[in-house]
Amino acid sequence: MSVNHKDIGTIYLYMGFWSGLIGLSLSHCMRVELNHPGEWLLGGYTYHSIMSMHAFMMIFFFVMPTSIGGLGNWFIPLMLKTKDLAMPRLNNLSVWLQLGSLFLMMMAFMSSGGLGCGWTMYPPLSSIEFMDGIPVDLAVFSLHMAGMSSIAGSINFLVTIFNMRLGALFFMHLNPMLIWTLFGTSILLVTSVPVLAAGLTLLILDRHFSTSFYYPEGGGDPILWQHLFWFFGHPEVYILILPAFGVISHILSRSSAKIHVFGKIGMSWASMGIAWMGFLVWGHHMFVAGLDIDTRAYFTAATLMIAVPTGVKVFNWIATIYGGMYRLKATHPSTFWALGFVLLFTVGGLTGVILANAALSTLLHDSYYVVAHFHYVLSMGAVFAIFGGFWFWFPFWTGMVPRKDLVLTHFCLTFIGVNCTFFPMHWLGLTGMPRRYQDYPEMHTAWQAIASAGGYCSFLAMGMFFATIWEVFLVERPLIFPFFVRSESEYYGTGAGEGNTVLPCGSHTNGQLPKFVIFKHKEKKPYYCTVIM
Amino acid sequence: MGSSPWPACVSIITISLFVNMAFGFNRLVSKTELWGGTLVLLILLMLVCGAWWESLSLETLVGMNTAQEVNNMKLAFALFIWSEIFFFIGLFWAFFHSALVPSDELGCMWPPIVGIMPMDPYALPLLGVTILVSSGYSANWAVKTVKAGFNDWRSMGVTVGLGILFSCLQLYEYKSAGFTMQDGIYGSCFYLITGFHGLHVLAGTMFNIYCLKMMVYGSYSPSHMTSIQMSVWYWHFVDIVWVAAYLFIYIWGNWGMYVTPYAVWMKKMEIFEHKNWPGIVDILRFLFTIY
Repeated sequence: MSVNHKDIGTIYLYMGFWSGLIGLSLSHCMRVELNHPGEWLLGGYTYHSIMSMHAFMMIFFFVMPTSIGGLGNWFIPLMLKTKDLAMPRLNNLSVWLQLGSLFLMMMAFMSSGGLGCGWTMYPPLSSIEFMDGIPVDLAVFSLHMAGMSSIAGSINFLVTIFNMRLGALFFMHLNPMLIWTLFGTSILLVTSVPVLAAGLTLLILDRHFSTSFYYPEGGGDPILWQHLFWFFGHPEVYILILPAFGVISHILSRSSAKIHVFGKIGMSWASMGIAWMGFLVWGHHMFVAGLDIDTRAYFTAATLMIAVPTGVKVFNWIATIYGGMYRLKATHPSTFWALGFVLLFTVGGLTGVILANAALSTLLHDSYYVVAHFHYVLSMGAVFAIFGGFWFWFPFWTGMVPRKDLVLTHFCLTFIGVNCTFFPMHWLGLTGMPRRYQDYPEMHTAWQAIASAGGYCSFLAMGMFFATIWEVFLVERPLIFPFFVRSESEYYGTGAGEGNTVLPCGSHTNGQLPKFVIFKHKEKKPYYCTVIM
Repeated sequence: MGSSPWPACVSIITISLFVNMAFGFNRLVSKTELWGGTLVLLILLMLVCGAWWESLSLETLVGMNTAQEVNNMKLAFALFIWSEIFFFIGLFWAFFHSALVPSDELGCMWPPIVGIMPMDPYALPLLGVTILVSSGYSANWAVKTVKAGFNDWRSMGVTVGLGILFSCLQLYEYKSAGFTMQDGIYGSCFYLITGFHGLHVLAGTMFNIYCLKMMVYGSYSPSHMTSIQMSVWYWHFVDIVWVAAYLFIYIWGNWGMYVTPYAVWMKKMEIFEHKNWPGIVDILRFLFTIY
């Protein structure tokens, strides 16, 4: 019931991590099954249910609530130096709708054997003839609720970012990268989620009201679903990664003792460019669906173009690090997550460039190569940013400091685990292993076994994470010196202009809205300062 | 702002609605339960939303909404309309996907070669468009009167009346239509777009009725007129969607039935009847002959 943005952000974080654990467990179930060939542990339908739920849990209930709901709610008001979001009650609605969505999705998973159509729910597999019963309907309604929650939250964020900045803070001078990336994320959400809602509505109508949207017999087309879904689906993956980009900019600039990320205006433009171009490339998920050759050529070219702003960001991060770190061992543990992100997300991005080509996609579509690509950018992109951001802001949220060796052990185990799991998938895909398959020819056993070993390693890593959390809450080691760069302390502070030296962050900040003043002396650069009037 | 129970209530009611629908559509509960449950939950949802709306009004009346907050709400509503626009873009996408390249099962024609008797777009639907567009003008009139400082409720009354008239017209059109939603992709797309549009007309009419009530009580003033501005924006959005639906589905979609391309071409070719070389006027006539 709370309307406080910090409470709501915390609820999102709890919900996100809980769902992430479920998603991780589901993935471990799959990895055990895939350890050797043959259907030996799980039945076919069960395996596909676990696989579909893994995707739903991770995308809609782990990454999105944590990075957008959690970090967005916590930091948008703080970084804009305002009391709360524009519409706190609507914020509460968003979190309640998200909880409801989680409930419906769990219901879908637990009933009638779950839903085995994949998170992409292509008809005719998701149509009534092949997937009778309530799981698919409950999943569709769950996505409707999650969509409503996302739209409400995005509207809230956009209104706050547009309207509630301090008086003279011009839009282009918005320094915090997290604000820019959440701004892009919100625009993507408010534009693409309704198209998903349209597609889902058509699926429900087809399933229960004898309409013909996706039935060729009535003149419809299953490809219509693919268009509608991927018109949402592609911006969705940018929604997943854009907040992570913002987090990494924050971590790296602080770890390198720089005031802001290198080329901050370019970074803002790159984020906006990725967001905008993300609307124009959905066809690269449909390269084998029978599209026209010219259509495929366009989507190849457009997808390759997105690599440009992404590359700008990667180079700028590297430039931020340059000249800033003298000893890696002495840095904050979140730096490791950020550096891991820069390296591994780049690898994932490069395989994305390969998959962008329609010609290669003809061979690699729905193979393990695709699985490797998106797990590199998600499991090692978004997830690394979430963990990095979590430890980066943990002292701010709780006033406590974890044991550095435990955090680093968790990092190392995760790093080894995810790389062991997903790097062999490149070879699996290139040698022809299809995705979403439970059984495979014996030639793939070696790499599958290594991938499963990596899975066990990430299981241990999660145990390490629990140990770290348990230890920090048990010992309650207080933070003595918060390492804030000066400009940041203003927005992490309680608004007194010189920053907060008492952590954890209080429940009500910026109660007295500071006035923002620009001093400009002749030809010199303007000097910004916040004062309490 | 203090905590409020309404968001949680909305969510719980929404969950119940969806669970009810999931079980009902799959015939795991009786039809009575499905219809009755949906009705009860929708009424409950209306009551909760009404309570939420009441909180908003009370906050305005006690002066909690600063000028910035009012701007926030306007921007938020504009973004909500943006999201609704994209929902309709998704629905229209379904229509264009099916109608631009009609599939073999339809006889490679739109309207399909058999089974559908489309409506004459220059009959009742034209009346509907006229009614809705006129209601847009009366809505603007209402806003003008409020801006000028007097609450002339007749303007909003006309808007509400025209909206209700349009809904009744559409209902009659549905009843007398020559095809249903189950009649292939043509019927599916037609009822999908007109149906969702109708729901939005009903929602917009309810918002307009609220504004009508406010105007009857004389509650608006030039500095306090946000809700009527939002209502009229929403009404214009509904109107524009209908104009698009009319032009693309009724007129363009049914083009071959009442006006064939062959007839149009022959009419265009008439410019060559008495001359060898067409002049400027003839070229313009060629370009703009569509009927």
